[in-house]
Parts: sequence; structure tokens; C-alpha cells
Amino acid sequence: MAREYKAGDKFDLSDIVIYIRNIPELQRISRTERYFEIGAGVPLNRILKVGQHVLPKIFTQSLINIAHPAIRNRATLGGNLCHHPRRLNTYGPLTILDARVELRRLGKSRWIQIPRLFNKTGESALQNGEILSRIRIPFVDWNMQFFQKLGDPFQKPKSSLTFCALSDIKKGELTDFRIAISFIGKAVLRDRELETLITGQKIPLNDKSRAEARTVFRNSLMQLPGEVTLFQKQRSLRLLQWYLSALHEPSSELFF
Amino acid sequence: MKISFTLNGQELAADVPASLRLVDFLRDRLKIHSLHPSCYSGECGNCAVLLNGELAYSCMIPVFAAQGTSIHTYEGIQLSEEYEDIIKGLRDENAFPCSYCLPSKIVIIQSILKSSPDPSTQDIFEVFAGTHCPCTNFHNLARGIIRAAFYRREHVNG
Amino acid sequence: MALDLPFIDEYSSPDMLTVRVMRADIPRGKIESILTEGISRKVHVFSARDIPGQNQFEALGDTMPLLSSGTIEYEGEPVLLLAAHEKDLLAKAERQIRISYETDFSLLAFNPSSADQVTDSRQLVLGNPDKDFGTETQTVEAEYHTSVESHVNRAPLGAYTYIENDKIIVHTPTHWPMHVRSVVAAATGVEDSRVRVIQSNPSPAYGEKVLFPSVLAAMAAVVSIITGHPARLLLTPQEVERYTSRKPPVEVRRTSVLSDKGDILAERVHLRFDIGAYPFFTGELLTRAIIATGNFYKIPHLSITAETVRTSTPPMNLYRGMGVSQSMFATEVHFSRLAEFSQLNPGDWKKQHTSHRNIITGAHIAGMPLSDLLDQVIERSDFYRKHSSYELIRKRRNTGKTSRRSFRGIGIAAGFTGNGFTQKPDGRINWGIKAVLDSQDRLTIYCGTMTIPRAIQELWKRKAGEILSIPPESIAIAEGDTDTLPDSGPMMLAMPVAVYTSLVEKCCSHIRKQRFHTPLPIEVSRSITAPRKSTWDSARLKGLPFHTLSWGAVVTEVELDPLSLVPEIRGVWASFDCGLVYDTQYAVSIAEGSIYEALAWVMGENKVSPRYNPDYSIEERGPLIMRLPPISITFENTSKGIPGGINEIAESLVPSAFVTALSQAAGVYFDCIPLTSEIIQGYLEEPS
Repeated sequence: MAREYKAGDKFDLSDIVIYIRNIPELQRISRTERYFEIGAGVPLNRILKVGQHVLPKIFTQSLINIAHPAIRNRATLGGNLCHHPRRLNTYGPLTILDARVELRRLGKSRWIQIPRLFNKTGESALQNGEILSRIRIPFVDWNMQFFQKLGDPFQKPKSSLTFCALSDIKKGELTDFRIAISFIGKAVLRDRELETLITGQKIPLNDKSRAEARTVFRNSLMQLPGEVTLFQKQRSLRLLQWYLSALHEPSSELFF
Repeated sequence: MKISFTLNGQELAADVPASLRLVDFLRDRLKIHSLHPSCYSGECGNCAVLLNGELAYSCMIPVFAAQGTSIHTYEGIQLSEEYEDIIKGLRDENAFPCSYCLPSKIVIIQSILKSSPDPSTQDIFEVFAGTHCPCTNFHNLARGIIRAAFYRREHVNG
Repeated sequence: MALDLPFIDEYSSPDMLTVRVMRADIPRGKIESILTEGISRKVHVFSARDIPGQNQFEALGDTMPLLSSGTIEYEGEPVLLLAAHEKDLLAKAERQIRISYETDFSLLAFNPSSADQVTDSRQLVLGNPDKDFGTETQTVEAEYHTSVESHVNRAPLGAYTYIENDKIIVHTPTHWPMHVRSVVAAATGVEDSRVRVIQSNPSPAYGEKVLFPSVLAAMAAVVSIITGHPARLLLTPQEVERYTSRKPPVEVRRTSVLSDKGDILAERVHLRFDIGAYPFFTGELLTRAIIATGNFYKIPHLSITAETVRTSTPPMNLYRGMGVSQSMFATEVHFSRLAEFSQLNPGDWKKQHTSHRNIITGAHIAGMPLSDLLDQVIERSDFYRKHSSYELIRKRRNTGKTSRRSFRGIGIAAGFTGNGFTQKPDGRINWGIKAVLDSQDRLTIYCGTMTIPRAIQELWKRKAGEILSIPPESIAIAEGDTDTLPDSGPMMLAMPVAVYTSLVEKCCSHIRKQRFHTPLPIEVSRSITAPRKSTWDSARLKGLPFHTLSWGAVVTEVELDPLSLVPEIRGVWASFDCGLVYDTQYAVSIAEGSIYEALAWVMGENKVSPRYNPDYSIEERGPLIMRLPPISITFENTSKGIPGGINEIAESLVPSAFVTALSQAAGVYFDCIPLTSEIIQGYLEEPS
């Protein structure tokens, strides 16, 4: 797992370092008809260059909102996911996109879903000798994708969050709905009860549905660990309320 | 550990501790004084270098990551023909940063002009979102860079 | 050229000692013991007892110890100096040294504070503000707060010293080299003439380069003189942020008595500044604060009391502006609020209630009237139309419903800042400049700091050239150090652009008079003189307090996103009269930078850089757009008069314009700085 150094800290490394950045397999980007595969060592700007028009918008938006180009030239997707204990920008979108990661060791590899990368207590799933080598993102059509990052997670950890949602609306019905909110290191909330409640509803949602959704979501927020501030919870509740109000039958074009 | 890389066109080899940041190595050992590390968190941009032609903040890079790379700092860019285009553009728009920020700004501008021969204000703003310079007038700076790009294109096209 | 000067962290030598300050980790108390057993013999440790001269830093009559001689007044107060050739030994030594304290838990707080914490006070009284105005009046009470602001300055701060030919040589990024010399001389116990101070590159600076280099230079010089080795002391960015100049917090209480028509009959204002553990320049701070509080307003009965309060925190003040931006914030926000009682918009209210040419002390401004500047920004920003439509929206808005629609507001502020000190400092000090015309008709100007900004140097050359009819290429600004340059005082409060420019003109005028009947070279010195009492009565605060004034008006339009509660700046429009401006583009550039800084302060952010705004388009088709607040600035009356400072006027007016705009947008009266999203939330008291 990645270790975070604060400004001015000396890197705590022995003089024997295995530098994996240039390993070809970790630098590869490939695609099939069903999914896009990104090596864990691919710099974020390269992912954007190659995949901006084919990757899900929710994911590319999460990348664009990471720092700035000088950082994105060096930062990798693997690093963003393995930044234990924080859940940075890409975690939420990849979770609801059903992305998977490959954990590989000598002679063996396994694929797990993103939420399993950390357990409830925050321990990582990586076992001794394993590295995160690839990230696989399936191609699925969602006619509404939304990603919003508020605040700087490092400068303002008590107020920042990312909110991402996927909706599929067909003939006035919300056929699929997913939502994830990341509080940058403290928790990621994916509210399946809310998703189940909303999926199958007619669009636009009526007042009763929205009120029910608000209640369910608020209860989920209240169960988050204490480090998530009241302000963050209020912000995410407002965002949810707005999003549910804004859902509508899409036009014939695909939206972001 | 032993590393070797190219700095401003010259090949170098050094024995370095793994715990060192690239900026500290360049500045303290190689006396590259154009680098002004201060935030050590990739926010201010005062340690900007070109690493394999791409903009990078050397405070965020361990020294061993320089192995096999080509690094350019302000000192190298200053000796190039392209430097004059940048200076001229900034001067035309009265967009000269202070002497503290000038070296890093030049490196950043060079990276912009390398990747976008005709950069837009958006392109420029995006890169400069990763800097902290209280005395910079970003609008002026953007105009200066667009000017510099114009001079660069004139040079290239003859 | 100053641009080419090395930065202080570039100085080094093979036998150099790296010096580190070891600081107290309690806020108040006494040192009981210091144990240094077990530390490497290669580390030198110095305490207050080791200082050969005076353990004191002094500036214009205010003092503080260089190193604690037993008492701790704030957390971070320097206790020891550690020095070693290998700097890695210092961190280890610091961990090994044991300082035990007797902690005094009776901390000096700002709120609440006791009367004996007041270190200085000033008052201005006009008319009889305590008079009984009868029953047909309204009383409005309000309180305003600003919190401490540290600059996030990245330039290195420190000193490098060594002994050469029996002199102590000091390199430091100072804006007051002569002061460094005197403090170093006092600390090392030598005469001033045995100390030579050479400036290193000080840019950029926010006030921390005026006094703090003297402290650090004295510390490094003590190490050099005791050990015989060169010594370099550099503060870390965290030390610079925590322990050097910061904008002091202020609490302002105002009581306004209004007629039934909303006119101000009387005003009582009480300002309290948290000045930290050791007060510096409090007289100047309070005088400026009172004058800024009164601003241009016509108030027949007025009482303004300002105090500095000592607290158990690092010394503050000496931030750009010295109290003006905080004071003006409270005044302009308050009077924008009072406009509602008159059923007027704030723009018209300010035009009606300000004297367009006289400030509160009675001084008359000769340039563009304030009402004209207000009219300009009102017109350019479409203030009237926007204000009335945003007022309508505010009144109609149902705050119980969460909607995506953003809320907008627009605010206006007007005022002035002063260039130069209000009081000529202690009579022993003779700050001035010198000019020499040689036999080749070349003029050299000697100013006590080499680091005058290029634009100001060009201004002096142009002025001198006009007076003496010589080309600017024949005019040079002397390079040198304390051995060759005069004491021109600290470079702050727009001294170079306003005060020194006048001195340059005086020197050149005198040279012109003598030129054709006195043999060359001709050398003329001119010093800053205290104004006559008829011009400025500093005891009664009457007359013209400053060398010159800069004034202006600013409008700020803000949009508040109801989901994130992040305010976005839709525009800033400013019109300034800062006297003579040769290079308008440069002046605009300076003003814009200051406006961005002011916005960062008021929003509680480190910086205002281009960034993506929250974007809630479900139907987004284009890419995210990087935005920067659009700013429109004009300078008026630029061909006449004496040039004035630009930085301070820009950053003094924007905060109040922003806060009043945000108040309109949110439908809540905000009365503090900073205003982060969480603080806005608190004011709005959203249900969870």
C-alpha cells in the first residue's frame, strides 16, 4: 500500500528499492469490446490522452479533478487507489462502475472488485508479495453520469467530498441507479438501500419518493464514522436531493 | 544507490540515498539554485522541472526516479533559443513574475509551449492551477504566454 | 540589479555552521532547567546568557528578547540556538535537549481579555456621541471579527553571517538594512560601524522582511562572533507562517444612532486588536485603524476607540496595511447594512453620506472625488440593476426549499489608504535619501535598500530626468550596502513609491538650483520630516495624516452555490485614484494580484488560482472550464500628483464588498472574515 508523506518529510526508504514504475505490464493500456484495462503504473494524463473519449465520463471527470497536470504527469491510477487509508477521487466512480483490480503475485493472480480493496476496518486486501497490476473498467451505457468534487481533500479534509452517480433512464423509468460518496479517507458511502428504493421508479420522481430517499440516505449518513463531519453530511444530502430532482428523461443524445 | 541521468543535456552519475527528494538533490548537491522548494507538497510549482519533456514537480519525486531520464531545469532552458521567445512574450504584456517565481514560471511555460504550440487561456489556466504565486496576475501571464507562443511559431515557421 | 541578487538559501561556505532555533513548546511560563547532556559535541548550544551584547531586539522603541531569558510569553518563543557543521545533527540534538518549564496556565487570551492586557490605545472624538438624541431614533448594534491571517510566503527567510577583516558581514533579505545593522551591533556588543549588511533577494514579501531579518541576523551573528565560523540560519516555511508577520485579528463593536429617516446621528466604535505577546508599532496601527474606521463619512457625533491587546501568541502586526483592511471591512459592511434603514441601495447611501473630498481627520483630497469613483464602478458593474433584482430575489426566496438555483449578490465599498507613516518616528532617526550629480551629468540616487521594485526605479529615473533635463539612461540607483547607503527607513506602507519619490524630487530640485553655480559633483540629501502640527496633529488626529492618500471604490458580485455553499466571484470592478501612474498596465497587474490575495483572505483559502467551479450540469456537453474571477480595474487621474501605493487600497476594499455581496446572496448578515463554506453553513443554520 502507498504511504503518505507530509510536506517536508524525508522518504523513509532503505537504500535497496525496487522501482516498479517502468515495468512494461504496468504501463499497458488495452481495450476489448467489453472493457478497458489500465496498468496500475500508467500516469493519469496518459489515461486521459488515450481514453478520454471512450472511458466513462464519470471516471475521466474524476481524473481531471485530480490536482493539476504536473501531478497527473506522474501520479498513477494504482497509486490513487492504493493511497491507504484515504479513498481518493477514482475510488467512488470505479466502485459504481463495477470495476475490478488484479492483484498479482509470483505465479498467481486474482481479480477483486474495488470495494474489496479495503475491508471495513480499513485494512487492505493486498497480501504479502502482491501488487495491484491492472484495473479493468467495463463498458456499460449509462445515459446519465454525474461526478462532482467539492474542496481539496488535503487542504480541507473536513469539508471536501466527491459525489458520483450513474442513472439509466428508459421510457420514463429509472432502470438502474447507483451512487457513491467518498469522504476522502474516512469513508465511502454506497447506499444500496437507497439504490434499491429508487430503481424502478417513474421519472421525474414525485415528492413522496424523494422524501423517502432523503430519509433513507440521512439514516445511512448518520451511521458513518465520527470523522465524517456534519458539514460533509449536510453537503452530500443536499447534493442527493438536487440530483434526484434533476433526473429527467434524457434526449436522444448521450449526456455526460 | 547509484543513478545516472541527463541534466540539461549533460550526462550525470551520482551515488544518492534513496530517501532524498529530487529537488533537494538538484539544489543542494548540484547547486541548481533556480529551484526553490518550499511547499514540498506539489502545490506551489517552485520546484518545476521538465522530466522527459513533461512538467513535473521535483519535490514530489524521489531522486532514484530520475534514473535513465532526461531532466531540464531553468538553467538549461535559459541557454536555449526558445528562451528568448518566452521572455519577449512576457515582456510585451508586462507579465514578468518576480525573481523568485521567474525560473519556475519559465519551466512551466516551456512545458505549455512544447505541448501546445497555440495554447488557449484554458490550457494555460489548467497548468497554472498547480502554482501558488500571490503576486501573479494570471490574466496578464496568460496573455504573455500566448504572445510567446506567437513568437515561437514565427521562429519555427521562419 | 536587485533581480539578480541571490536568495539567502544560496549562501554557504564549507566551514559554515547551520543554525536552528529551538522554541518553547508551552504558551506561557518559566524555564526551570535546560539539560543538554548526551548531545553530540559537534553541536553548539547557545542560550540568552551567551549573547555577548544585549539580548534584545528593538524597533522604534518597542522591544522583545532575542532568546528567552527565562520567561516564556508565547508558544514558539526562541529559547536556544543550535549550531553545527552537519545540519542532520541538529534535529537529533533538538530531540535530546530537555527543557523543563513551569507552565503558567493563566494565558492571555483575546476573548475575553482583561484591562491590564491593553498595551496601547487611541481615540478620536467628534461632537458629542453620548448625547441623548431623543426617542425618534433607531439604534443599530453590530460586531465584526476578522481572524489572523498568515501569508503563505514561499521565499526563504534567514541570515548568513561571517567575520571578515574585523567586521561582521551579514547577508539577509531585509527591507531595512540599517535596522539589521543596529540590532546585530547591539546583540554582538560591537559598534554599528563594525557591522556591514548586504541585502539578499527579498522578493516576494508581505512585511516579514521588515523586522524579522534583523532578529535572525542577530542570532546568526551571535553564533559567528562566538565560534568564529560563518553561520546560516534559515526558517522553515512553517516557522515563517507561524512566527513572523501576520495580520492581527480584530474585534469591532459598533453602535449607530440613526434618525427616523436612517441618517446617522452618532456612531460609537470600539476596536480591539490582538497584537500577540510583544507589541510593535502599535501607535501606527491604532492611528491608521481609527482613520480607516472613520473613512470619508460625514458623522456629526463620533467616537472611535482603538486598543491593542497583548495575548500569549506570537507577535503580530507588520502585515501589509497595518490594521487598515480589517478596520475598513467593519466600516464598509456596517454602513452597507445601514443603507437598508434609509431604503437606499448601498451605492447611493455611500454617495449621500460621504464627504467626497474630506477624510475623517479633515484632510482634503485633491484628485478625483470619491463620488465620481463610486459612479464609475456603479456604472461598469451595472450595480443598480443587479442590486435591486437580487434584493427582490432575496426577499422572495423560500429558504426552506433546496433548489439548484444559485443565489447572487452585489456589494460596494469605497475608501482610502495612506502612504507613509502617520508619525515621524523617534527624533533620533533620520530617514532619507541622497542624490549625486557628477561632472558627466550622471545622477546617482542612493536609497537605503537596493531592492526597490523595477517600476519604482523607472519612476524615479523619469522624475529625476524631467527635473534635471537628463536622459533616464544617465540615472542610476546605487548598489551598495550599509557601508555606502543612507538609512532610508523600512520599506513598507508605500514609502518607496510615495515618500521616497518626493524626496527624489526634492533632491533633484535642489541640485537643479545649484547646478550652474556650484562645482560638480553636487551631493544633496533629503530626509523625511515630521509634518507641522498645523498640517497633522497626531495627538488630536486632525489634518493630513499621511504623505499622500490612495483611494478608490470597488464593486464585487458573488454567486453562492446553495448545494456546496461555495461562493464564486462573478466579477470585481474597481476604480482607483493613486496619483501619478506612468505604467498603467503594471499598476493594474499589482492591483489584480492584491485583489486575488484579498479574496483568498476573505474566503479562508491559501490562494486564488484558476480552478474548476462546481458544475452541476447533468446535461453537460462541453469540457470543464477553468475559471478565475474576472476583474476590471481603472486608474483615474494618472497624469498628476505624487504616486501612491496600490497594493493596500485594492486589498482594503475588496473584503467588505465581497461580504456585503455574499450577505445579499445568502439573505444573512455576515460579519466576519474568513467566510468558508462551513462558516456560511453555520450562519444559515441549515437543518441536517
